[in-house]
Amino acid sequence: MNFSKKQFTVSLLLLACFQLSIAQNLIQYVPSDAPVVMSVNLDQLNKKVSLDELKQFDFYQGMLKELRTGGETEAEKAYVKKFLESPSEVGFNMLQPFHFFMQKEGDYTYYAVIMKMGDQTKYEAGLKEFKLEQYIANLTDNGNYKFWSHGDEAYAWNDEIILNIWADKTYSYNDWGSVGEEEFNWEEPQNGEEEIVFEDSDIIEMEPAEEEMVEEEMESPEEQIEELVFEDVPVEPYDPYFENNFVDEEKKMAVAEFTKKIMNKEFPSNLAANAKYRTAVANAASDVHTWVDYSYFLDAMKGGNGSFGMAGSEAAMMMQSMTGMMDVFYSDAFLSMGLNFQDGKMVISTDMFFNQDMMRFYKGALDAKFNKKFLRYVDGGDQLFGYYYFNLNVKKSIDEGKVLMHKALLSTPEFGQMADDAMKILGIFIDEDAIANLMKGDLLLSVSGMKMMEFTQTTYDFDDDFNMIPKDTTVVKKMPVVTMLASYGSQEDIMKFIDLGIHSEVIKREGNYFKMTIPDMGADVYMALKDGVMIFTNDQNLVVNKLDKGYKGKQRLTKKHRKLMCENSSVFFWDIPNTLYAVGGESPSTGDPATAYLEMFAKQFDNIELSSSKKVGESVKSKIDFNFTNKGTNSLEQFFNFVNDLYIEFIGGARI
Amino acid sequence: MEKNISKLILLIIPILFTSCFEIREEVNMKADGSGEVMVVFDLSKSKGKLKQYMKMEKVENYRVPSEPEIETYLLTIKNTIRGVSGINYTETKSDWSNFIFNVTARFDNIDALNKAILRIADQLKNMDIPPIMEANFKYEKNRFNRLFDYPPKPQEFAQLPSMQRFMLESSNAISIYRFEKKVRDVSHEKAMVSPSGKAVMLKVSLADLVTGKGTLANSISFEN
Repeated sequence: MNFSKKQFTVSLLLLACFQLSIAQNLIQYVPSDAPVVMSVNLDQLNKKVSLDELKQFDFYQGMLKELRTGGETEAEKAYVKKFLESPSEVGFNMLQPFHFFMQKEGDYTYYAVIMKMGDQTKYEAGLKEFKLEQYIANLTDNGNYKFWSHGDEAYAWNDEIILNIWADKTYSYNDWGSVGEEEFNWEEPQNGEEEIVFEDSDIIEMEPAEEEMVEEEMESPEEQIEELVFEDVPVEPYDPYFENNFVDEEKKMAVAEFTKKIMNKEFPSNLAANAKYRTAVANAASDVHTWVDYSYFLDAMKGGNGSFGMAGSEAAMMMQSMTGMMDVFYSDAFLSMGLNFQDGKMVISTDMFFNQDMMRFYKGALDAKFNKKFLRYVDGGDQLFGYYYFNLNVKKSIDEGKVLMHKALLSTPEFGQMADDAMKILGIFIDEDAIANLMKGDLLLSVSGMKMMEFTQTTYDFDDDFNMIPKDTTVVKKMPVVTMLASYGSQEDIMKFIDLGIHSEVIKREGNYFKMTIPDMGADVYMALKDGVMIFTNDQNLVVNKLDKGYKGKQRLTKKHRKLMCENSSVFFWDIPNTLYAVGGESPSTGDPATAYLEMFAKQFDNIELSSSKKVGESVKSKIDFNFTNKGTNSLEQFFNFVNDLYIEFIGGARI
Repeated sequence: MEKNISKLILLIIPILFTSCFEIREEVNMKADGSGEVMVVFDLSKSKGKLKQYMKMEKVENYRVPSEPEIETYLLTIKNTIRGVSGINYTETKSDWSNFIFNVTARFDNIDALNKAILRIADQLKNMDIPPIMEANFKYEKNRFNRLFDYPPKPQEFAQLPSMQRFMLESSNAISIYRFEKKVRDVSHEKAMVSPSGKAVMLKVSLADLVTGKGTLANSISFEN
């Protein structure tokens, strides 16, 4: 590799810039093994909808009102009010990102929020007003940071950050003790154990020493009550913390210790040292970003994290038996999810980082080409509700899937070598090429609007004596037009399956297509095979009149959809107004709340697009776009407007 | 029997069903007072949901009875009716694909029919349904009476969620009575006489039965 001096200098500079930004970033306080980290970029959000603009919304005012009255003491209420109205007045810098993370250590799961300190003097003054006499009583100065803890609350701060921390104790099933692999035999003495035999002389009969006294008490219950009355019992001063939150000293110490670790950065590396995390956040600066390390959940399955409260249950034991298999699929796996409010659309982008085996599987499985012939048979006109498309490379999926399954079975003791051997034998009979030549692995399911369709229903008539006579009646109902398309390889092989259906009278041939009737529904489904495309539809018109040439160009799905399906391994598209207006009967508002909400929803949102890229690099990428009708205004503002409308509707239309 | 069924509907069925259903009572009377009764629980319009519920086993904290449990219950009804003197034939049928359940019995006289209903009502006591103390049918020489003296429960009905009220409003109890003689007159204004003139049909919504707005009570007289 030819690496010039210039390239080296540029790289060094870039690295230095990145390190500098990390150093300034609060992420340096987040340990690299934190399993869940959520970061909120307040500065970016503030540019889209500022705090002052947010305050104008009715729902925010309503929320403020609720929170203001929610505090336990007057001091608490006053502090909450000040914080919500002007966070900088109580020392917070709300224009810097903040991070929430969780960390499992020993018996405790810690939850922490790290925020940028705005003004330490104001922060301390605020906390003093908030906690009154408890402030000084529970404050400790640890040199480079101050720590305040009382009950379940704990805050730490210095001139750079504010850390709010709390913890939950997780009880591990393993702590309850185990008798090992073998069950304890309660009847027979175990090896090395002495059988304890009681001789008659060992058994001492207890004398009923208190019998007389009991009788005496029974005779004069009034006297006993009088004796039990205690006077001058000292009354403890009321302590709400003691009453509401049982103060666990061990927990308090654990929280203090964890706080010290975070404030002094006493951990091997911070999250920014994780190369996958850096790759994920370098792709785009998200307004809200979430990072998940799957190893935490794998540990939970193994019982290390208390099995999510299912410890000892049958489900937990089943999960434990599958941990080896899950390790194969999810070890070294991370999820990065970013939410971004752009003009006219809200975008959720995800990057799924897998281990090498899984990445190889995805690279192979998603390496598939879109069958453009599908476009002929989908009515993509202005009535389209939506579609779902996926495309897998069957041959590569089986090839790579076999490797994964092999590893998974070997790492699952319950299945073990015998299951793997069975899989190998099964492999003799499984012909990947034949399977891949039968169905190509793609599918497009579309709903192209509503259409009047005929159904056969059994109804009853009465004869002259009111006896019920069943009769088949054809009724016409408005139904969604559903079409499902899949690519096939060998028509000869496909026909073997269809022949089976014909001979069992499930399928009927009608010219160049086939007809099936769905039992109980009385509706017909049509199937046709044409140029490598298998078509299932409830629209007879498609198989009767459109089979050769398909829909005309203008009626087909647009270029945008074609591009989406070409570039992605799976796509889901939902046209919200088309669907909601069709379901709601295209009628103007009838005044009932359900219709009003539907109309509000249909007016705000244009469509939702979900796509998973077929190009697999360092991660498997997916994206969800919530497209708003108004393309010129930021989606956060539109979203808040929508929430506000819902809120006003909910409270009965009256503004606060 | 309708009294118990109405109570049963008010208590349990609204929780389980989301579509309408039908309870049909058919009586074929002969001139000598003997005859055949058939009660049909037709839940076919809810069959999709019911199939789901039976797989779920529990819906909104209510345990959904299993197929064998319902079959056992039908068998109990059959055996209960069979033990009544004057009942000479009983049959139960269950169509699990359409969720239609039939109970058929042949009786020697109307008293036997009434006794059979009381016996079944006694069985239903365990299901928190008050027992019936009076007769349900009366047959004299020239008159057939369907008695229906069930206290209405409009307040309980009003407290049901709107979806369940709607379901009861769209579900019906149907009575069909067939005779050897031609019908001269019916007391219920909504009762229809068949084209042959020998059968009477009455359809009442279950909501009306529960609230007392409707009744199955009917007095039918015959031509000489």
